[in-house]
Amino acid sequence: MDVGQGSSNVILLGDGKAIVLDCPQGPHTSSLPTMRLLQHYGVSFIEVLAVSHGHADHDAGATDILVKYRGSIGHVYLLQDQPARNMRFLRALRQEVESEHIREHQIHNLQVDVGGRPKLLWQDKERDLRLVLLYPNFFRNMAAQLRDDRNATSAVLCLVTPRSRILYAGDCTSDGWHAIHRWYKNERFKCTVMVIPHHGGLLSDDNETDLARTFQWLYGRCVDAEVGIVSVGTFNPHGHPREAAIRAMHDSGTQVVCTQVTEKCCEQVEHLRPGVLRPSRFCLSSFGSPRTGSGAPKNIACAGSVVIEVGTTGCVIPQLVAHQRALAENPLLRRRLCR
Amino acid sequence: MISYCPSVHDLDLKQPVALIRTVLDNQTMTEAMHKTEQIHQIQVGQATYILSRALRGCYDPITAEYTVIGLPYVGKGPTHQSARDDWEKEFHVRLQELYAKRPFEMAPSERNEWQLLQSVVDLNDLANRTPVVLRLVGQIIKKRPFFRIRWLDGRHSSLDYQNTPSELAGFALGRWFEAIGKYDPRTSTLLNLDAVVPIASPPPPGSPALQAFLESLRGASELADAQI
Repeated sequence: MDVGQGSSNVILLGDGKAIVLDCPQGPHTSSLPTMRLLQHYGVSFIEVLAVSHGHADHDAGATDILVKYRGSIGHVYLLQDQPARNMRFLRALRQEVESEHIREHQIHNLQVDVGGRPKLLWQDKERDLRLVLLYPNFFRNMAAQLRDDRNATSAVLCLVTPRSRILYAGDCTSDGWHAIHRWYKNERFKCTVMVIPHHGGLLSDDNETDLARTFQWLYGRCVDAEVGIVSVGTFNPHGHPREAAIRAMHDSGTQVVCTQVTEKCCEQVEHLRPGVLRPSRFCLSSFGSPRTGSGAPKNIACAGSVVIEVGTTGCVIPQLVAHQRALAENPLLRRRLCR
Repeated sequence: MISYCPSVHDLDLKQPVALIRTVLDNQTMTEAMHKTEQIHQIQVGQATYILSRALRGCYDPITAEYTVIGLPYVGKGPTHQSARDDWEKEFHVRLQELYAKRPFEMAPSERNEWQLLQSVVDLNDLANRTPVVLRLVGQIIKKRPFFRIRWLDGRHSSLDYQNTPSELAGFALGRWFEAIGKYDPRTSTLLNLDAVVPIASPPPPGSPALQAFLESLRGASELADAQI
């Protein structure tokens, strides 16, 4: 979803059901596009609400879903990556349990056993769809809690369909990717689409030289993704996405699609408003105020909310061709980042 | 149309002026009954559809049908107004049915119909006027001169009295309540609260009970292994 500087993914299952992976809220991001999409398509039941980690750009809007879909949520998965007192979503969750809107047995803490197999979070046997938890494991999660750093760990989930895999990487660190790589016996994890970790930003405390090497390893040797989706906001103070990350994806043959255009891709972002592709009605870039409090531009769509149609023959991304053509034809976009 | 004209035998041919007047009167009457009109917007219930181009609607009193050029819907009714109302309802129902579908969920005929509707209705305008409705849990932290509310997720909202149910004024400061709120889809601001109900307080942050709750949750280790 185009939610600004945050991340939210919705899997529409039909029959008024959906899965929501992360839902943000904050000064540069909003849960509103996600809520609008769910409302528009008449979603009445959330099969799974999963929060990859406890950072506001991933979890703060999940409370909206928890409250709006009261009594209509199948399972909630959250990650304890910090002390309980700091977990706002946990507080909301406890409120819902006390009010008996959700039962404790519907809620799970996301972590796989050390050395154990990936875990099954949800399954549709009829259509052969599975939502799988790949990471983190117990010890990594405990280490992250001790660091009291909300980006020290993150869950990594994968939607497995008969012909494709869609990887939701949250803000997984390079430690996490090494753990996943080891589990897969040092083979590249093949996927059709990968939602790029940490909005294309830092994966560890590496310096710039090591950073390039980390990204080359991640996209060249650890993961083999056909399309990489970077969920990023036009205004973000963190310098996302990193040039090294985009380059590493290009070098490994991954087609890059960003939800919003940033000043790292284009020096004159305002010329592109409302977007490189016209944003759909489920994009933060199609509504909201155009500038931050300090006057910086925000929410200009690149591809906007990216639709992936999952069928029996594989995945189709309807905007992909138009997006890549627009990038190639637009003289404002720097070729070094977007080819 | 002929059936509305008087027979020539009924006319007094010795009075040509009267003849002309009678024919003209019947033409006017027929035109009035076959009322054609330009439509710029359609309103049904709470929905208002602004049209991206004007449409031409026509009521045929013989068939008692209201039709609009270029659209396949037919409204029926004994009067122009009732037939138009019926047509607008059909238009509204079909648009909302298709609006809630993704393109690949539509049958080929529906896809054509949707393309037609998209060319007629300003859907961006419609989306930008449709509020996002959320159920909210919050606490009153200020009552005058306007309500200041802190929501469960830490956000704050300010609301005028005119945008809140009157019961809210009776809640004590610090009182937790549940509400149905409408957000402006363009600006993300809370427009109004439709209903409020007082509820028990959630646990304070940092409470040992919160830690105990967290520890009571089941881990993913209890879930089945996944084949991937």
